[in-house]
Amino acid sequence: MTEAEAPQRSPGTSPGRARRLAFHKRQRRRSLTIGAISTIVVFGTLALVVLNSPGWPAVQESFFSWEHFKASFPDILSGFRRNVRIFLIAEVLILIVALVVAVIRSSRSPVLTPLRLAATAYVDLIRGIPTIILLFLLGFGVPALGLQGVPNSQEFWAITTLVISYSAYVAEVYRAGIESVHESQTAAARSLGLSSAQSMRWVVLPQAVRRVIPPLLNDFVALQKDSALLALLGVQEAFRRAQIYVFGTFNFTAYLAAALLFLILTVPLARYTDYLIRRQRERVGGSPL
Amino acid sequence: MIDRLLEVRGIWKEFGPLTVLADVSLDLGTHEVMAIVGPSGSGKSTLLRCINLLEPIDDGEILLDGVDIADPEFDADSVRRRIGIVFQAFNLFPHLSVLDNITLAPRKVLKMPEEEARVAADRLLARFDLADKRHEYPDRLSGGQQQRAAIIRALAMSPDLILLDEPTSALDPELVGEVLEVIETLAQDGMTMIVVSHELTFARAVADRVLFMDEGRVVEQGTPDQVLTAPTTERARRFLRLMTDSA
Repeated sequence: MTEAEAPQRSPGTSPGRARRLAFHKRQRRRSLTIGAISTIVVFGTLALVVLNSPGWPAVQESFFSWEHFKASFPDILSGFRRNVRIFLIAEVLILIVALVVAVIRSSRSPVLTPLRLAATAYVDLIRGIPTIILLFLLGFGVPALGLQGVPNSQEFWAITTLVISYSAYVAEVYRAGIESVHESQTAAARSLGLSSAQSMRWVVLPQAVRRVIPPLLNDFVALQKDSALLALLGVQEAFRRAQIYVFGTFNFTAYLAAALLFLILTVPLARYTDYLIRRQRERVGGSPL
Repeated sequence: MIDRLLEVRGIWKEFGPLTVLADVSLDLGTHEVMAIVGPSGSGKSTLLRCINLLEPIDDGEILLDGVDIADPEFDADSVRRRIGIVFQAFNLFPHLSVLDNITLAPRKVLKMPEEEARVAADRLLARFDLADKRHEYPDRLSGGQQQRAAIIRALAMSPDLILLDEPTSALDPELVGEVLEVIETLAQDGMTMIVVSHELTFARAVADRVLFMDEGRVVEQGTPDQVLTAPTTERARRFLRLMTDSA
């Protein structure tokens, strides 16, 4: 393309633009090359160090044994179905319980004062107790009371623990969302005659929930991993099955198999969360997802 | 006996040590349009928010059809649906389409069936030239279109009275006209309105009466000619001179 052929300079054909494009292309290629080389060097060195370490053959045998992987996997996989079921149930319950707690904490109605105090105490207390202690207290303590009509299945108490524990965090996430909705939205809703409950339901909450979806998903990545804690109550989930295999064979590959199953679930969810955050940043406006 | 829709009797509003409204009184008949002018910080917007009961007053009475709605024991929600307010920053609901913005209150507050609310909204949208935007979300609209949608949202509740709080101050200059036009149409239809505005030419054209406020007090009130052409107080004269010089 020459300048003679383009008597009127149209966009995209000026020599200055071509020079800029070429420059940026060179820059891009350079940063890609540097990135690739440094990645290879770092991970290559790391691999060399590990593979040449004196203990590597023994570690390889006890952590990366294909035979043990194959042998333990079916059992762990069937245990993992339990993890999936547990956190699916827990997630739904957490979303509901946490929303109720958050709305109560955000309300200003004097009628709800006792509930508001209870909700605040709940959030403060639960966030201060390690989940594992709560799990032992509820999982071993409550069934030991031998109360009539109270279920004593370990799975029931395991789910209850997760719901109680995570709802406190998720309630705070919701509340942050509720508080991020500008008060002019409430003013507009109230000025149209909507009651404060109606304003919350139809104007504030829809906007709040949309804004906190990424942090909510983040909490659920954590929840999915924490479903492995249930092994401590003897629930036959993936980690427990892996433990049983390890105790029988003294080979740790089974743990790796369990970890792999968790990764298959959590990594895509984490990626999806990142994607949502990126998209939210791109469109700051309030259009629905 | 004049028909008085709204009577504000000696209201006071304080924010901590700051007195925002000091003994403000006004009255407004049905089908009347009142313009409130005055320097910023003079309490104009607060006055509207008090009339709409978005802010509680500290003393005085606000009578709507002879009933004191500012009585703390009065049901505020039932009053607000009768008094529409249009905000400077539109305050449309960003998660709802234009149509849903308009039909939300009729459906939830007046319990109007969805179909009926939609038909009523469509009629208003067509009338004010927004029919093609009914399914758009507010952030896809220009400022002028957003403010028109906000006016329609207030109208959809068939209020007795509409309060407009500097409805064109947040708009780019070229979009002011379309919003003022809508307000003028409403005035011709006999809608009772109070408009806080810096558009003096507009105030003169549309308002039956003009109220001049300064430092939380009503300094002058009367016909547009009285207040805007031949103000009696020095403060009003100074303000009007500034406004006309800058225009």
